[in-house]
Amino acid sequence: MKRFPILAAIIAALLCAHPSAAEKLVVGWIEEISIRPGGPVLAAKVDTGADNTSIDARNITVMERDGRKFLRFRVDNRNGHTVEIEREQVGIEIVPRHDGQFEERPLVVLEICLGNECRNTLVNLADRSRLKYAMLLGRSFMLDRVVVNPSLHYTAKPRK
Amino acid sequence: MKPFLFALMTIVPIVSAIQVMASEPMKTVGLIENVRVDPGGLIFSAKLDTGADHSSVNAHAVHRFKRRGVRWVRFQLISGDGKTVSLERELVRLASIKRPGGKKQKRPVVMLTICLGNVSREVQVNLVDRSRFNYKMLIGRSFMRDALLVDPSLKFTVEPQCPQRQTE
Repeated sequence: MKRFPILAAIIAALLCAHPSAAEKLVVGWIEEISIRPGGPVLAAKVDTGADNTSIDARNITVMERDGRKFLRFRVDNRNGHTVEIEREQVGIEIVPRHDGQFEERPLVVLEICLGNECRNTLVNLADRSRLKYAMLLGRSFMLDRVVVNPSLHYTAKPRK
Repeated sequence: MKPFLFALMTIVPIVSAIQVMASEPMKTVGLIENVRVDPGGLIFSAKLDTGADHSSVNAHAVHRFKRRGVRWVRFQLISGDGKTVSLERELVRLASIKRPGGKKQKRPVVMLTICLGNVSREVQVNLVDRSRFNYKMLIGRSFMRDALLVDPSLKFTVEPQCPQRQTE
């Protein structure tokens, strides 16, 4: 925990928040989300089958500052625009692949907003270049707050 | 007479559709639910996956064959508690599966009837070796459409309660 103070803060925040079912946000299975600060908007697949959240990160460069590791990467929003994001690396996620091998993905924290529901979320940086949506929103974002209606898409207005 | 018939043919389906929607509101279920799969009647603990177009189930010994010029599949379904049924179904299609960073796979797809709570639907199901996964069945959006919402914070909220399947 000493190495990852942001991780500890997220876990503490998770333990405090338990809204009742009636307050949960109902969204479709494809939604536009925004990332704060700066508010780049991306279409995300809202996937109850995924534990965690990933983003399609290209050209990842690593920088050391005050002994801390920062990552700068580019995200293609599939709309003809590319956004650049820079965050501290807070860990590594080991992701089992379907061929039985494992993949190591760097983890950053992004504040993701879906409608008015904003949440600091651990996000792994992945190669999603062959996939239609730049972001996969997993249960780590949804837990205790979001319900998915798989018959709908694009129901929420991205918040700036 | 003709306009009257036309109006009747238009209004009746619309009214009955509205009645169905009113009597069967969309139900919210959990991430993991027990479902029954017919034919065979096996019970699976299934994961409701809004990221999947179609459902998939743990199948072993999958063999394709032809019967009177029609493509069929013979396979065994194996549930989480090890119960097995052998089935033969017509092949609907071969699905190509895209994997992030992986190569394409071809999977046989057959029609199976899934019962979750009181929702019973015959849908396309991919036959996959899921023996190394915790949940031997995934429920995709084609089963959930217009009937179910998924609350990923809940588990085991309903038991399969559909009328038993009629003989074919």
